[in-house]
Amino acid sequence: MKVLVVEDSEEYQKIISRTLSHYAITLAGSAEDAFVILKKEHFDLILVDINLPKKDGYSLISEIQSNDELADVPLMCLTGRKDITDKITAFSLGADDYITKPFDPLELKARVESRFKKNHRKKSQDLTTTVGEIEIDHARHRVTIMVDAEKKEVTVTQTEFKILCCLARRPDQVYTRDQLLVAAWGEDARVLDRVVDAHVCLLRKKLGPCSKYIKAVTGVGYKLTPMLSKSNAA
Amino acid sequence: MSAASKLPIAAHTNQDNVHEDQVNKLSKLALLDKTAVQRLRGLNQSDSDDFALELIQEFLVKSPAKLSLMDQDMTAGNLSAVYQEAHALKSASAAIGAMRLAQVAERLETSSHSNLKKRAEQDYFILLKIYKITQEALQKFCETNTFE
Repeated sequence: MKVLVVEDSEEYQKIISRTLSHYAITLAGSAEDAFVILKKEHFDLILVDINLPKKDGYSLISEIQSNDELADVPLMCLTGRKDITDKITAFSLGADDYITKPFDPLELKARVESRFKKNHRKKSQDLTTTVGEIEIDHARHRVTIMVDAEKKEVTVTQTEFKILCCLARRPDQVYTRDQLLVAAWGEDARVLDRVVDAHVCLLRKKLGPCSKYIKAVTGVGYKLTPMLSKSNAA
Repeated sequence: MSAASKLPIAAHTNQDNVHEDQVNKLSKLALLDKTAVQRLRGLNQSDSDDFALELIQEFLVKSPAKLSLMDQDMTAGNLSAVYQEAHALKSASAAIGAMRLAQVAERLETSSHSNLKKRAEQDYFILLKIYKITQEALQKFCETNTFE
């Protein structure tokens, strides 16, 4: 894990480096230096002091948040400013956490570890979608279903995978055949909308007992329903 | 020459009696906070390592030059520079657990940032007094490894 520490105090640079010694630490003494480093390297966390020479920490946070490539990197403020207005400003600009100096190194360590755990969990969740007993692994392009309390992988074609992903995007929302067609074949595709029915039919067969989650909505299209009614669930 | 004798004294701050009570008010705060030192020692990397001592010794070596710079800026009435220097001193002293000095540095930080010249001069004068006794306490700690 890589951490960028933006801190002008040599004493705190040393304390933070020791506290987080099991991570790869990069130090920047100013907001300007930090931005130069951020353009070259990716970091998993950025610790920012607010009182910095020239540009302050708030400016740095704003710049980071307005940069699409950096906006998702967790930001923690480490500052001597204890005022509630400072805290609110930091959070409103996009900070994820706020620690006041002097701090207990154990607290800093715990907060950083917690932040990494949450981030890791979020990343994993972003890569998988679960609807009922169907799990879609977007990164591995894999679909698994639960059969008799056991996970079973289902082999689906690329078209079936795209249709399933589209339906899973918003469970319970009805997607028209046209919408599913665009999701699977793209805007310019010249395919009859009834072809969607054929692919959904094949997908249902492959999903076996989990086919019950795909519902046909007469005259409209299909939806993926995670919460089944009692008659369906039985 | 000892570090204490290097302490800069600005000519315009000879107001000993006036601010004695304000210095006393700050005496509730520790010159060197035991808990802060213990926290720093929690970061020791080996039995022979003493991170707290290392930081305190470094503070004693570097701070006189910083105070000297502050003295020049105070004399020149350059309050924006004093603000930066007071902030840096506040941060450095809080980091090692010199809480009384950190508190008075914060006062100077506020008054200089607000461009309150007279108030800043008063705060600076108090800071010099607190710095001197903090410096003595830190030197004693480095020599004896005990708290007052």
